[in-house]
Amino acid sequence: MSIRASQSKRRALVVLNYFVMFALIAVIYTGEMYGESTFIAVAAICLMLLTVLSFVFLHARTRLWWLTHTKIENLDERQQGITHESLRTSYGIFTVLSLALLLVIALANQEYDPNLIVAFAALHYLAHTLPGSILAWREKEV
Amino acid sequence: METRKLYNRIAVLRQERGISRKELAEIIGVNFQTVGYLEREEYNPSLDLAFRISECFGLPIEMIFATEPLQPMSQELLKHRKEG
Repeated sequence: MSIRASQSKRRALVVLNYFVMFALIAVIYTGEMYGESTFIAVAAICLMLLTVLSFVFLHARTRLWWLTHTKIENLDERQQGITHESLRTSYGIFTVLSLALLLVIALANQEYDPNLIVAFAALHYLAHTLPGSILAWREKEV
Repeated sequence: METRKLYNRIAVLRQERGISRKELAEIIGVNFQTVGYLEREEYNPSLDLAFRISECFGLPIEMIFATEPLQPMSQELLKHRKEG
């Protein structure tokens, strides 16, 4: 298989994996909101199986799980570089999504809860300053 | 900062010596896929890795890596002789 074909296959698996995972979440919430039924249970089981299968083909069989979870000493310099870039991007995306979710929960709450707004502000501050603080702590010169 | 593309002779040198990508990878201490990236000139090695590659082939770094597309080694040797 050519490198390009293999990359297209991996990208298709990424889309499929997240799609079925979000569909599974949607089905679970639908069940909670409108009451559980056999149809919802079957749909949830099918989606769960698809999520697991796409995860196995995308992360386990390609060793991507190992690449992003192993100790840095086990990786060569190119692997360290690409995982570093990937983690940097993931940190940004994960931070934005988590904070957006927290903000939505804080604003959607019928009773105003100042603790959630304070938590949002504190985590927002931490997300932006943590990388710089680690550099300040570790590096001799920046 | 944008990095420059580096050209290299790793594929030719490896084939000349009759060693596989996996064997070269073991000698220089990287994953065999990284050797593929290096040979396709899709990855610029660190100075440390470049030295390990140069030691493996027993050639100076400038004979293996360049910032301009590389001529066949025979042509470069001829050029050196003419200049010398």
